[in-house]
Amino acid sequence: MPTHGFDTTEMAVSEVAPPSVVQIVGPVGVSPGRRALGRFLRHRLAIVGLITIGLIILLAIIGSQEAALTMNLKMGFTNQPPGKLPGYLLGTDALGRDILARTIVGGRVSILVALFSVSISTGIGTIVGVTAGYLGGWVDLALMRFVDIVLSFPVILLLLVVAYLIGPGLVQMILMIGFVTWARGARIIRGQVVALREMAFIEAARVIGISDIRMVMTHILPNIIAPLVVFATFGVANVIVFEASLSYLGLGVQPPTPSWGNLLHVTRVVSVLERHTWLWVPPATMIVLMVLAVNFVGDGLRDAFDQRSVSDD
Amino acid sequence: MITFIIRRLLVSIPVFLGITVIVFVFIALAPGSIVDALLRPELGYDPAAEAAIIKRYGLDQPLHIRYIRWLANSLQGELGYRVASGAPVSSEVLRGLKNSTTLTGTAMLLGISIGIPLGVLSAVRQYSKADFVLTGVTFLGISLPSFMLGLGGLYLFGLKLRLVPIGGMMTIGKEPNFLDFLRHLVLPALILGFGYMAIFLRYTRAAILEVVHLDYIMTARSKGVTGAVVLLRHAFRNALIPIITLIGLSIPEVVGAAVVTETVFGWPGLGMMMVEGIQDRDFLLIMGVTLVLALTVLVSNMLTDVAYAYADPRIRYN
Amino acid sequence: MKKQIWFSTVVAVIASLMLASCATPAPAPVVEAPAAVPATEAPAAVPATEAPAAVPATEIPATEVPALRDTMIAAWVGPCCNGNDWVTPMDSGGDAHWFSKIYSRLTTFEVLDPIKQVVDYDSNSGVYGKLTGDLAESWAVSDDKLTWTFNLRKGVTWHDGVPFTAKDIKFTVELCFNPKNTMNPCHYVAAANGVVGVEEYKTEKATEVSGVKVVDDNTISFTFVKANSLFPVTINELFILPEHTVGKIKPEGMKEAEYWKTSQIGTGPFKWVKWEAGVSTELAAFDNYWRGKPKLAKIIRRHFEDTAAALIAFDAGEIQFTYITADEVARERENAEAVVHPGNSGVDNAMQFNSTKYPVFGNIEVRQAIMHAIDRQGIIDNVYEGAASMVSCLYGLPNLNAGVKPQQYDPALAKELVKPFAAELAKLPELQFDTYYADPLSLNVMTAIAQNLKDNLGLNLKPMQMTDGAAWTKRYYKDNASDVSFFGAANGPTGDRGFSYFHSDNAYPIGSNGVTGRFYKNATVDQLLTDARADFDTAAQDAKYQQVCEITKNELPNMYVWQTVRFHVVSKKVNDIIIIPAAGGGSYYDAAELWTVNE
Repeated sequence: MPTHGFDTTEMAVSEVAPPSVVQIVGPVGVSPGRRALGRFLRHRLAIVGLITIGLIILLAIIGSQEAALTMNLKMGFTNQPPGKLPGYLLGTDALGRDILARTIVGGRVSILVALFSVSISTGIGTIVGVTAGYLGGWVDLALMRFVDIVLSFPVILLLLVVAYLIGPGLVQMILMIGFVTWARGARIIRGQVVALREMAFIEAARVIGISDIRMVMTHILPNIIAPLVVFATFGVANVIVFEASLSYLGLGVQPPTPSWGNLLHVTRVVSVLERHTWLWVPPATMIVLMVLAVNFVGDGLRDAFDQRSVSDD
Repeated sequence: MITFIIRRLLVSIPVFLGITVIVFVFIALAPGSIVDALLRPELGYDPAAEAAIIKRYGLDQPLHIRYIRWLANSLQGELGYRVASGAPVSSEVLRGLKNSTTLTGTAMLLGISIGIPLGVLSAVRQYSKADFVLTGVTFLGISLPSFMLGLGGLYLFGLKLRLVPIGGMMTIGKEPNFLDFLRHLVLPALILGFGYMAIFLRYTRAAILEVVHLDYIMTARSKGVTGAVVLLRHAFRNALIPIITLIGLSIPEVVGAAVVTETVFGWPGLGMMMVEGIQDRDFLLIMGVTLVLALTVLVSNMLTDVAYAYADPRIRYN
Repeated sequence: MKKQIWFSTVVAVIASLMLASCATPAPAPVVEAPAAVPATEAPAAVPATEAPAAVPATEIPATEVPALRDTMIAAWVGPCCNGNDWVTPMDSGGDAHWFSKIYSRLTTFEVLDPIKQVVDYDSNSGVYGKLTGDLAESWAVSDDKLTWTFNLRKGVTWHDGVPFTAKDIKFTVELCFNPKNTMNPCHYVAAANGVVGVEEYKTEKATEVSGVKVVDDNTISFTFVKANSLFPVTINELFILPEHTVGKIKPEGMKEAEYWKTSQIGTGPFKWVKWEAGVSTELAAFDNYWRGKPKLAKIIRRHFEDTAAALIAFDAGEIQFTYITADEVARERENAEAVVHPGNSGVDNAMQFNSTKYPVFGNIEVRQAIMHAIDRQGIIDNVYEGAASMVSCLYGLPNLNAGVKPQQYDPALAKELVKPFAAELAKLPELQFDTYYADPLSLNVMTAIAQNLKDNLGLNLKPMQMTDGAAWTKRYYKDNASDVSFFGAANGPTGDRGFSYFHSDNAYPIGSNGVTGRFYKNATVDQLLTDARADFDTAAQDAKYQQVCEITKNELPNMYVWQTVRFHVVSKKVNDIIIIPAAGGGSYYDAAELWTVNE
């Protein structure tokens, strides 16, 4: 999947994976949550990933917005490599701005956009997916065909029009990305719910006469948390890269607000790609670290939720 | 099953129409029209030309009339002509489809043929160094935006190492030849392929682990390698199901997802065409590409759902 | 078992779909010119006796004569060009340099000192050089100054051998004015707007433009309603089209006509061979070109969507020239295989503040303050790295702006000027500073401007690159929704360019005066512009334009900041090329028939 392109089917497999992937409340002993945690902790890469993410977020919080935006349009200040100017650890860009500050603050923007837009997309996807999967029948049909429509929509056109209608700005960007990515999640969730619906314990609950809402809250939702969380995690990584691709098309976070995406945009100038490497290596490194870390955490989460993949108990 | 398929087919028609309506409306909502795309800001403004363009493309007509006219024409196979070049939309879209499919199809093949074996390896050696390294390297390819990978790749492998040509589908001025085409294909397909590699690796690994991890180790120890391989083959069959579904779900992307890569490499596919169409506000071209996209999504989603329903008898759609 | 069969079928179907598309490369349908167009008459060829005396091979050591390649491949990307891989010679504002390979014009410009231009570049040198004849050999105006007569070159033929005559010129002009012509807009014919009979023709009251007269095969005259001394210059942008082929196409079907994609015919040095959609366009030498048979056998225009990819292809030797932005120049100057060709772009960058939305910008003092608050030279030196020069008004040519100095950077003066308006300015919200320029360099420039205005006047501008040109056009022109805009304006080739922007007859939407609601009316300027047009004394004409420059510098209907230098980079292997980045690809003689490429 060109995950750095315009789509992701990260969790596609769970749509038709046999229900064994779905975690069912098991027999007595250590609680499943505890066991999952244990399995997660065994995934060393995931731990490393978690720590990395933590560090990056910490940096992003303490980064100085002002330092990232202050220009220095004087001879000898623009495009200076790291170490040349005192106080500018990673050098300056074409407008004399501090690369280190811009990279850190850029992380703040990228991570925020990713977190919020994934929340929105997961939220909408879950609502639509659960409704369709649980209610079935023509509701399912209608909702899933709506999902089909969203999936076949040319993404750039959508982004362009939405950007025009609601304007530039971080909030709008978050809404836009959320709106573009929820459809996949809906399909996945719905697949899971449909699988669950047919299972014996749901039948049993229905026979007992539990209300629909109760059913969804206590039986369905907890059992789809696993794929949901994994989908969201990978989604975050994808959005960070997606935003960078958007900058290439002029639709990303608008400068001078830095984001890792638009900081990388300078690589469109061959001179910069080849010579002013300090302009893009820091944001590139950060993006790679972050995406890797998130992916490893996601892997760890999936291993954790999947009962039979680890050689313990 | 048959009723399910028939019902799906019937429902697809209004869905298809729905897609066309919504896209048409969105194009109209986009800021500016063909007029604004054709008039160059640097040379001032020409109102007579604008009037002519509006008349020509019927831009002054109410939206529903324009849509109905487009629909009526399309049903007869008349998809119109491109604003930029006056070439017929149908042949343009077919050309773009062929080129896109080649590129993304190859990327997917690469992803499958490299990702799956790596996934098996990774599963068999879970948490080993090999596992970490393989997953790490594959994920590296999806952690950078494609324009950067593209330009960087062209710079490194094309300019510095002279291993690949710089962009395009063929060497200009030379007779079309398959080897030349392959050399042009390899870098963009590889870059696109990273995404597929990562996914297929990950899911093969998960699917295999799910079934046989413990047993594999035990069998290998007790029965020796051959027994273990048999078990692996069995596990692989289990992995086939999600993999095939994955392929099915990826097919729509073959059509329009590789926008950035196509643009950087100058690969004249549907992604590039869609970008050009939007820049020109060429609603005829955009609708043409959307038709292809929509068709692909609908068909592949239906196939996948059918496969799913078939696979698990409990999951029947009523 | 059944399940497995089902799955195998699905796999097989999908696999075969993919294989089918992967099987063969999918080249674009190659649209070729019909083979071997026979020449209908003996070409006016150089008689055999004039062939250069062949130097016996033994006298020249083989190594000294560089082996020559017969094909040049190049990229026409960047602001010169339209971005589409196929445009028509009637299209506005793009690819003129490409079309001058296929077509000719009545007149053109001679670049004054091409070698000096490259080596010893002076950004104030006149980009347009000296007016010289192309299809016309000479021209003169009648005694009453209303009629221009052009004497056309004899012996010029079209690519298919049919002789070129004055009828072709009348045909081209009328086609471009033809309201039914779907190849809109036919921009370059605007130079002939004042010709007698044009209005009647455009409104379909007449079937021809009466002011354009075919005197005989080699003479054509244009009669104007009001005297126009600049016509021979301004007409040099119009490409002349052949009546005997284009005349057969119905104007209503002009755009879709296959002719433009398969067999365009011109009088230029190269003739159309084929177009591969999205890939390239190929031209071949026209043996009977009137300046002489071209030395190159083929020219190929390769299509690129991404300018960085084009530059990488250039560095790798795949193409022989391309356009680069100022930030790539330093690196290419160090490239031993390349020569950088700088030139005046003929385009000013300008800013416009929307005084309909924010009336405070309607005050001249505020606008003057803004001009004093931007450190233009600082931006030119540090961001453009010298690749621009300040302008005092619209006009960039030294003969038109002589004696008029641009506002100097003076923050103290700026603050002084806005004092009476401080309260109003303080109430302004954050202003969107939009542009259609998509490159990182422009973004940096706008950021620097915004910073200057923030520091010196407390204005809050947020740069917004709208790479979607149509969106910008709508926002700026139609909706008048821009707050502050940064854009480009062609500043030549004559002072008459100011007519559209400053003359009160040209209120938007007829012309470009008052696009953002601030309609400019200055009776003196109106008079100067009208008189200058009819003034046949160059010195007096220049003086009038200089006055216009001074007045508009003080009154600031638009705020022109600088004129940019643009660059091409050409392979060292290419010989005898003259290439300058004039606006829209410009109109100038580039010696295409002399170009050669070493192996």
